[in-house]
Amino acid sequence: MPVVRVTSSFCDSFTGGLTEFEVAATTVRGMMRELGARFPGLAEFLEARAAVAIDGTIYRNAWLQPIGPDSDIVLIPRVGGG
Amino acid sequence: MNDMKPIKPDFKIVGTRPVRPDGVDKVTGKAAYAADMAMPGMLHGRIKRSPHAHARIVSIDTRKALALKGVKAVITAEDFPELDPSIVAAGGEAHHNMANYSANCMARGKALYEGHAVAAVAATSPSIARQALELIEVVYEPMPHVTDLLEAMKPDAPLLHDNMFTQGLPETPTKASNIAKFFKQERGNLEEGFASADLVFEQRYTTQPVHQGYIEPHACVASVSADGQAMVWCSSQGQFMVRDFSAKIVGMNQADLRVVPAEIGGGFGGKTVVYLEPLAIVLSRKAGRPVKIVMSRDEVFRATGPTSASVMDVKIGVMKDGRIVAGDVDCKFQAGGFTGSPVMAATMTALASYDVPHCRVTGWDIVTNTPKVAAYRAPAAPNAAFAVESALDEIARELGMDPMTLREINAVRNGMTAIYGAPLQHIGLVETLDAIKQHPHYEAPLGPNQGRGLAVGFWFNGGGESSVTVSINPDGTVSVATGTPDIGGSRASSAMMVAEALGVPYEKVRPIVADTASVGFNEITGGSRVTFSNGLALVRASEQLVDEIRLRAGLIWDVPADQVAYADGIATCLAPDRAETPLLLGEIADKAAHFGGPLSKEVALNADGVAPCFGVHLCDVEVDPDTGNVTVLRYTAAQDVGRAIHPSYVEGQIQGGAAQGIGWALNEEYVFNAKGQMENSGFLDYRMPIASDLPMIDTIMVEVPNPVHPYGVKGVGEVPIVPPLAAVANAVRDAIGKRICDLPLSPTRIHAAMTAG
Repeated sequence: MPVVRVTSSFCDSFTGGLTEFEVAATTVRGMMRELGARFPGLAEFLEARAAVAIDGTIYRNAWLQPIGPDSDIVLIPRVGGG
Repeated sequence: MNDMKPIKPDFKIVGTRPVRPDGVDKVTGKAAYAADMAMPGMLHGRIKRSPHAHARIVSIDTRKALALKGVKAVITAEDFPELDPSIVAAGGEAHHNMANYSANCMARGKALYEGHAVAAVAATSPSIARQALELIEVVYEPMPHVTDLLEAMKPDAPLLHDNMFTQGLPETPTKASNIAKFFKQERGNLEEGFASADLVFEQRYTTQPVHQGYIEPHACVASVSADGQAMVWCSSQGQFMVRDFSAKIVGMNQADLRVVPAEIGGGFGGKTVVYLEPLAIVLSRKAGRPVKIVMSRDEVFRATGPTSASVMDVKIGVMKDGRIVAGDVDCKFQAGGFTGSPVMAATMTALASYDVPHCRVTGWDIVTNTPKVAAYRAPAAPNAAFAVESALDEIARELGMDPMTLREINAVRNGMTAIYGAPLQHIGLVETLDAIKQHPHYEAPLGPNQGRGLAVGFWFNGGGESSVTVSINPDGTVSVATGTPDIGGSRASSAMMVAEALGVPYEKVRPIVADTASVGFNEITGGSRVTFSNGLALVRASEQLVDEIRLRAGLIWDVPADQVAYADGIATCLAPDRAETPLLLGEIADKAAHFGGPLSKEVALNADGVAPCFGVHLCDVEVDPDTGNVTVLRYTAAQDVGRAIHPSYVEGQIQGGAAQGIGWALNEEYVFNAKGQMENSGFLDYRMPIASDLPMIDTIMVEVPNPVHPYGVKGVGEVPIVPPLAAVANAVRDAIGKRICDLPLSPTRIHAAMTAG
């Protein structure tokens, strides 16, 4: 199963500081829903505030992006530019 | 994105330097900026602003102002809907709390900084509007204020928002404070890392608020019709941002608000939010006439977002051979009157250029009684780089190592994981360091009182939503519509990419920046995203057109499309035993009506797959030992640019970023008096660099293409402002033999350091 990692504290208030999660999802949206089922409120938070790196490519709002069984997935805070 | 065709090595137009389509109008003064707009019956708006840094608004009496002949409308916060904090703007890069944006446009209950808007008028002349402002009676209850971010963090500091409880801590505090948010990035075992280090270096660095300093003040004209539909003409970094933010703030449908982008006289991040537009819309709605508002320079300084003051504590552990084994950086950033400093980006960029196995970067978002900060070119990255790159310079000295060597040893490479968790791909830091090392500047001799500084910068670059339309006209020329204001030459790069993809001369492609009703949604011009995201959409639209051209030529010849070749604006029939005369693009387009209608393609996409970039800057200064004045003698900036579509405009971005960073390092700062009022709200007292202050900034474009983009584009506009603060500070340290850790490096500060014992 793919593993979702987070190296920042931006999800801590939902996850209690956990940094790795196994998910069964096959898409970004499925992953967010699955994490939301485990940590109430996290799905909505991630939808608004997170980008997702999948195997090194950073996606923002790409909820339909596929996730493979061996994908390296990292949740990243969205950052605004100037 | 993976269906895009691979990078072509044989470009015909990409990489050349044609004249920009908007160039002639800009250099002849014909280009129309927002302040040039005028309409019949137009009124003039003016804004009344708080003289207090922090005050409760007890009452606002507008009756005398309304009674003044020529005054057609007066508004206060009561004329705006009170928004729920959960209302956010969609489609942007970051999270936008519209309740805060609304309260920043017009104070509601409290003025949170000097210059905060409390009321506005529309009158038949600017002078009547000014008189009317004097007649608006505002009763304030002044409150204790705090402008310094460290003071604001103290438990007994004056409280800006009594409902602000620090987010991001393991447990939410029960007591309100000015600390809005806490962030942390970490990996490895920090304790273990520092325990293994041969040398541990610690230092605090500080920066002051600085303004983007765009030449053109904010300006807009709004016209609301009797049926509630409205048009706005304004200067911004995103007409769709203006539409969406303003519609939410004033409470109207997005489709009822059409925003027309004027030319923009600089933004640098500062025009990614709204200040005037909602006010002008509500004034116009109330008055029934168009309303124009133009800020003065004083208002720009006092009421629009500078970037954050910052305090950064850096601790770095290294081995004797130069390997960094541990890094701990704490960043405190000023947000201004409302939460939302860019400190998150500081935590993600501070150590992003280096492979640090054990590290932690923490960030604090602090509200103060100062203007709400706005984005400024690679927000927060220059501050963070100033701290880390200054520390590395000192570490190199302590190790007796060339500062370049220290960076070469630790530079991130492809496949390494950034501190924010994502593997780095298609990056060119090593190549960019080498470009500086090979430049004659690197080994050039220095004279007395002169010093040299080196610094590195990182920025993510951006992607996001872009919509474009590419249309082939009956004569074979091409019209291109994008929806992002042209700040750095995007019309030129758009036309070049389309010309390349369609195989037509650049001069036959004419791009426009369309209004919000004329093209699909686009995110702002910002985040170094436009050439990347728009480029993907434009090339995709052009490739679809090429397929359509081959189909149409085939229909003309009665052959399948796969028996038609197209290149350089000419379709050729490949069918055996057919001697068809090749068709020019215009000949095919002229017959479009007969074979399916106009040749036009719209592409709307959300671009992902952006690649980060790096800058490496080298600066020589001379310090006057009698005055402490710094002269920048020589400056060389190398940057991994992905692929330069138009090299001149990429070089311009690099030079502009370097110039702004030099000003940030040497001169610029907001100065507040004891009442929390800004003391230097004009260009005479707020000293930005001018051409005669700077040497020619030499640029080196290092091309490490991003394969996700068909032409290798990464984004170039922001990273050049990241290294200069530290490059200049390191050069001054080299020249005077003493480290100054607080910006700006003003003559007074340098002279004091030089004469101290």
